[in-house]
Amino acid sequence: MKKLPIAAVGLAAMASTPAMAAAGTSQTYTFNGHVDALCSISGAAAVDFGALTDGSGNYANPGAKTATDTGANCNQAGTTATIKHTDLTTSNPATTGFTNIVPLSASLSTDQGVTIADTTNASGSTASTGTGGTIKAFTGLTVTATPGTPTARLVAGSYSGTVTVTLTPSA
Amino acid sequence: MPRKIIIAVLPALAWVGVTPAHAGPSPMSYRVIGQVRPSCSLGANAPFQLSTTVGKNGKLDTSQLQGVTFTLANAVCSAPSTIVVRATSLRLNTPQANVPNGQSQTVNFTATATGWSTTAASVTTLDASPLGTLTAYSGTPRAQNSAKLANITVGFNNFAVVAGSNGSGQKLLDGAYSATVTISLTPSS
Repeated sequence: MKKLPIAAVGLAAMASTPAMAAAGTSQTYTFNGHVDALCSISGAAAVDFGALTDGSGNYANPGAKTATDTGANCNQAGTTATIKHTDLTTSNPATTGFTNIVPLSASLSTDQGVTIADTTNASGSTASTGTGGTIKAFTGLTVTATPGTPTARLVAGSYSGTVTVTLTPSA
Repeated sequence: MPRKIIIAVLPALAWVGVTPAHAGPSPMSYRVIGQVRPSCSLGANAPFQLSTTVGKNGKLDTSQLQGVTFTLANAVCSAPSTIVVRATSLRLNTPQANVPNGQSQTVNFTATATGWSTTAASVTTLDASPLGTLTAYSGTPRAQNSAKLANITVGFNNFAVVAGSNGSGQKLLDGAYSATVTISLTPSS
């Protein structure tokens, strides 16, 4: 009974000494993965400022309102964004003493706290030149539109405008 | 065998990696909207009273009344609108229940508003009895096809004493007379 353990130990020692065996070959197998650079932006429902005038037809600034795009995201640290905007306008003609333009300003911010404000001005329905910057990788985008003061009394009508965001993924 | 595997994988990575890295999504436009409801404002100086005094001779000094004008400054409508003039007849402030034959306590006239619609808005009161009434007569609505900010001027003419059945003299009871004139602006829907 005592001889058997000794024989087993000897076999194990032989198996654990391959360096002592003849030189062989080796191969490292590499497993690669890839995450595409990707930006996604899904938009949001129209933001309604509601009534822009009081009962006497005087301008009543509704204050800033936001559109939240929870589906927006980019996965690259060097991602840039450009924001442009138009003013709030109506196609109804503005006769003497009236205007059909409510000036807007616009900005965007990510859930990670990066903000870019469009520092250029729109001209009615002609969009602003736009402002760009790096917003890094992010999830969630909030677009803010802030009405300014019209230059004259507002002509009646339905007003609309846009804030346009372009995302460019970059490492 | 290992070399064949590497050669096969690299082209695939190059194809997958380059295209998405340089292709951002299309610009996204977020829409903002607001409304300005049609409204009109005349200010606080309407309606107004047209007043005069008839002396003992029973004669109406129409030359003085025809020189009277009222101005509604900075009337405004933010949309196309209509203007309507309404007026009561010029009537003795303390009307009598009866008036003697040949006398009257009522004067019809025409009020005309200019400065708003292309065709001036006007109304002519149509009391038929020398006793008169408090009826407010309404003129034809006149259109203004654009939003407008302007002064409206109201003038008066065509004063005519309402004579009784045998009132050839058209003499008025003496006393203070007045009429109420109302200008209305209504935005089109």
